[in-house]
Amino acid sequence: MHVIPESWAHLHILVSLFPLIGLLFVLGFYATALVTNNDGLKRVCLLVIAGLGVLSIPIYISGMASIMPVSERQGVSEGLINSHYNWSLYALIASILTAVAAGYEWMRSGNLGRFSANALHLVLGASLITLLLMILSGESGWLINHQELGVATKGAINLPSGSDIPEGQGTPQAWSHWHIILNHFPSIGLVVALGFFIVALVRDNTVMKRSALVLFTICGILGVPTYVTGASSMWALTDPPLPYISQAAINAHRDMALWTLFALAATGVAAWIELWRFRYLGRFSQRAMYVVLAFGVITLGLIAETGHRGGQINHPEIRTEPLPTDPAAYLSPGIETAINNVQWFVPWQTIHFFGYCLIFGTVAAVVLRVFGFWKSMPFSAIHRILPLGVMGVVMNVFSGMLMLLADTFRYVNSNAFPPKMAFIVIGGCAVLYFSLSERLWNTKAGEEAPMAAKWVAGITLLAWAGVIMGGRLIPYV
Amino acid sequence: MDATSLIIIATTIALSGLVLGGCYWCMYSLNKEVDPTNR
Repeated sequence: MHVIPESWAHLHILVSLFPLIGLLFVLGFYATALVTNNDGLKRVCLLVIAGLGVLSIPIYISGMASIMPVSERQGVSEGLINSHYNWSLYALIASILTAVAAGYEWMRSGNLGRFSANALHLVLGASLITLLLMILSGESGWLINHQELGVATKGAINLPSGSDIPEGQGTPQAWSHWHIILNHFPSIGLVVALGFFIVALVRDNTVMKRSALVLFTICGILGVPTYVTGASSMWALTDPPLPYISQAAINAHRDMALWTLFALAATGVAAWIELWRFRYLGRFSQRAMYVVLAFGVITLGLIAETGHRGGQINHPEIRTEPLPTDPAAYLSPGIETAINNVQWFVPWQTIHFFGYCLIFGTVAAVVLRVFGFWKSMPFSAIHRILPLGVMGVVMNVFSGMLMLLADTFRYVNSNAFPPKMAFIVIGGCAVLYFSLSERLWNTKAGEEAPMAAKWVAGITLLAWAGVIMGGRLIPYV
Repeated sequence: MDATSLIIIATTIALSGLVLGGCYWCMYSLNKEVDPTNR
């Protein structure tokens, strides 16, 4: 792992997105604390929000110290640096003010033993404004180094001789843009989830444990679009090739990314199973909680190395050792060749179809009960089959990613592929709703499910139908 | 039927059996714990 920064620019890349993505996830915990009125979780959230504000100091210092090495890079414009500096300054000021409000309420509530509702809402509002400013700051920041985001059209039109891509059909750089944004969610999300999970274990706070398990599951779901956009970015950066991008460096990154994807899935599933079991047993198994913790720690190690290797691809200012040069020295090209062989493609495709059957069958049963079929059954009876759907998702994450590796270029450049990926995320999050909703769980035999659940059920059905239709349309549109 | 086809069929059956068997075992273990009638 390379988590110890070796330069100011390296430190800036490591910490600069923690306040943005971290705050987004912490606000999820904060909203849960407000809704469930869990004082322990409120206090931890206030402390973390204050801590994220303190990060503004190293971010500002490292950002200022990075200007010189970054501006020396060819093609970096002073205008972009100035724009990032201005937005960041606003974001940092907002972050510090939010941190002061959160820190003050944390201290005050500690002394008085109660919270001020106004102060809690002030922290929430200030955090949302900070979040908005940070999004603008982040977007202006990665435009500085990621010049490929601005060469999309040029790359497609001015194809180098020898490229086999028809004119105007280069893989869109929008994939790279999405990857730059998405890859921070599972990585920083995992840090936040682990932090809250450890505190929850120490303080034995059930709401906090459940919230952290939900975040582990969300990180697992987000691993899929992160990996897919990464695989797509490879084509956007290498075919037609960009002069400053090394295929070997990309292979080093995507080897580790594949392990990370599987580790994220394992952590997410382990966390989800514990959430599912909690419904029936009313308590968490201590052993299972430590298993989730171990999975989370291992996944964090893998994701840190993946992130480091990914950063090496397009950040020459942080490199301290020469980039790898042999593209054949990594596993991914070999997996691509193997899976492209019909001997392996057909068995994995078969698993993929079994996975679809499990997912869609489970979704259909759950959705029909929510719509009003089989009202003689309580929802808790239907809840029992949810693991079948989750097993289907796991089977399809493994088999789908391997099939993607067989012919990434063709898949990612199909019009049906982006909506399929979006539907997977929507469908995955909807499964979380069916696992967590208290009102739905309490729907007894003979009772109608809540109206909100019917809307979610409709979206879930459409999303998974869209996933299957998208998959079948990929070869043809 | 040539050797390649036989290998594809054998691999497909083996992998499917392994994965579906794994699913059955997971479902059995989970339900045994939460539903006494499953024991």
